[in-house]
Amino acid sequence: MRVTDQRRYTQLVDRIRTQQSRLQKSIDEVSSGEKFTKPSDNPAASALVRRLQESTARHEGYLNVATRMQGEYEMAESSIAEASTAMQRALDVAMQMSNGTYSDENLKAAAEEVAQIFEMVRQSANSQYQGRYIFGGVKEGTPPVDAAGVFQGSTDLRTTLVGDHASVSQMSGADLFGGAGGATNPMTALSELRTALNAGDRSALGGLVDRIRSSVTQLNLGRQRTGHVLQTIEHARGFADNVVFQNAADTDRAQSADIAQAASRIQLISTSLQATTEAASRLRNLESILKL
Amino acid sequence: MSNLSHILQVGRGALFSHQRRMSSIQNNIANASTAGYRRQRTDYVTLGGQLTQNSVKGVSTREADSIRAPFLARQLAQHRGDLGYHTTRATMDAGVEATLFPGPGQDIGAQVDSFFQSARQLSASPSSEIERKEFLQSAEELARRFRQTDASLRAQQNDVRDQASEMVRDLNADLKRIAELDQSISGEVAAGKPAPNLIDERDRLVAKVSETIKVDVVRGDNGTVNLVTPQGRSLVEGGKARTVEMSFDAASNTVSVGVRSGAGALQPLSNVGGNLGGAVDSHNLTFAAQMKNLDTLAFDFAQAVNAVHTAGFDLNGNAGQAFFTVPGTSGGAAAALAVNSQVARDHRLLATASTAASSPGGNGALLSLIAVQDQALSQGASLGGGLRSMVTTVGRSIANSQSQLEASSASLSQIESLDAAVSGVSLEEEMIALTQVQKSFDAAMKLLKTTDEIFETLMSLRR
Repeated sequence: MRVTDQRRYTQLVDRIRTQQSRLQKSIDEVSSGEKFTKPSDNPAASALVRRLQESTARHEGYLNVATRMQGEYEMAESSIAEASTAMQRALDVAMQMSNGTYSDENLKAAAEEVAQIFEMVRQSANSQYQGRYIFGGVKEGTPPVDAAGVFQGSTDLRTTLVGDHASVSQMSGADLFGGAGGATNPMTALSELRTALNAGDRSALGGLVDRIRSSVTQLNLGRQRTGHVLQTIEHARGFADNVVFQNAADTDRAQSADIAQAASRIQLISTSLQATTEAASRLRNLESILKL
Repeated sequence: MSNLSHILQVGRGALFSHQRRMSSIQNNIANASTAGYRRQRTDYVTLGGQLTQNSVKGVSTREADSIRAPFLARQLAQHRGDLGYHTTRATMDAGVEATLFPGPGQDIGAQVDSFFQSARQLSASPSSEIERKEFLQSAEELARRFRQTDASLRAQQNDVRDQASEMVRDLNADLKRIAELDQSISGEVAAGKPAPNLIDERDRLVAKVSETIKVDVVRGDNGTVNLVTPQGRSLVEGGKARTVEMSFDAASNTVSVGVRSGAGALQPLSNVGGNLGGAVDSHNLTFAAQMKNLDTLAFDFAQAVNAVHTAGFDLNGNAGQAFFTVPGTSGGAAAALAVNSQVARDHRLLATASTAASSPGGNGALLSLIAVQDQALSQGASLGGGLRSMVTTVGRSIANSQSQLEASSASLSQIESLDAAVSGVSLEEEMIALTQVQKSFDAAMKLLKTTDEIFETLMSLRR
């Protein structure tokens, strides 16, 4: 085959250009630490990385929500615990005053204490988290329990997603403090207790003891439920954390460059490039034929 | 004496012949690096023979002609067309890729994630003013990215169209020039002259044309060529050129290419190939298709969100308004997508609750909105999936073009090597030929000198 000078040089230039392009790609890989920087470099891996990024963003969203819900439920648990403690004290007072050994003055003094307990429970029922009433259901902008102890909140409860298949609902203030669904209304019980104590109506105290005890049980059950919800949130957080971690590992595996391999490739291409350049300079020696 | 005179004529003819051969060699050496130059050769022709008189013996030369490999012309044209197509397609499609994927976190997909993240955050505290405003900002940013992406694609598509128009203008000028050259070549060849320089110039233009558009190069009569498209439409035939025209249909947002002969009807060309085909396919199959996808996604997404929002209730207890403003059909939806200005101004109009009674803390409408993230839209994929599919499709198209580009480049290089092996200039070969001609020239001179000496001797005898 005849080899012409122009073709010889053209091919050399082509090869040098190809090698330089490969060299640049390897240098980019080492300097960026990524196997590909745009989808066309590796469409399949790029689509996978994008899917992982979507999943990460979604689960990071769940993590934020779960963190907020955790704060809200911890606040709810603490408020219910305070209300339960206060109701327990009200139960003690009611039991003590109902045994018939106390005078009317003693009962009036107890009524004062019950009034304070009423306020404490009301305050617990009107607890706020980040400026919103946590026991008011969806009516979270106004205090759920008014000064008279009447529940003004909503029975409609908000459900919040903390994972793709996990959700938590608001604690029902209506159940805990409003006597909804046949539950005992602690506010009414306390109010009646105070009235009975003020009136010295010892016969009514016996019936109230049972209702207050029922309220304590009811609040303790509410506290238990809060604990379960917190467990659900914790589980959802753990799951989202794992997904985010796993996604980061998978993204790294799909995207991160093998620096050692890329560096060795740079070495190989450089050597090849050097040899091609050397061959080009040798071509000049071949031109000695022109001296003929 | 007359025999001696014949010898002088033979010597003179030899000198002229070697000079002409030397001239060809010098021309070859001078043009060794000229693109498209085919080496020329001046062949010797022996004059006379057994049946001819002594007076016509000696050597002469034919007209200088170039050495060509006509069997490679079609393959060269085909590979040039493929290379041109994939080079242009990959380059132009890269613009779509850069727009759809400007960098991590900068694409629409990342903003879609952010939008739904804000919705999730808001679902935990729907009455929070801060989070309502954050959600609105996120929605406005998402709409802005749709508009920005569409505007960028539209501007680039216009550039592609302009470049294609320029290619058509250059192509028509080249076709016209090829036809003119063919007429000259035909005249020369008919007169028995090989016209190598005209053919070289014509072939250079044919190479340029075959890079611009896919053509089959068919050798015609008297050294002319016919350039025929894959559908059998002639661009140049018998020294006449046809006109290539490009038209744009705004309704379908596509360009089409056709061939017109004189005042005749425009004959449409499909599978245009070459740089022009790459530009046309990039315009129609990548830009127009992805812009349409973007419009459809923007429209479907806006419709889905609006359906949820209008079914919900705002903080004032009123039914929600359309959240996004979009045209009545998907056409132009990405360019027009915006958050309803009233809602954007007043966060209280954001409908987060599913009933009037569940406002302000209800999040039923928001939960439905969050579900839109996984909802299959009209094309069968979710918004995120659709956007991902767009980026992957363009990425695959570019990767495919680049891979085909490398294959075409390697094939073309091989064919060019074969072609150069036949018609390229080898300096070594030319230098050896030059030495050979020089020796022959010296010999012819010696012949003349010897004949002259014989003359001198004869003349001195007479004296």
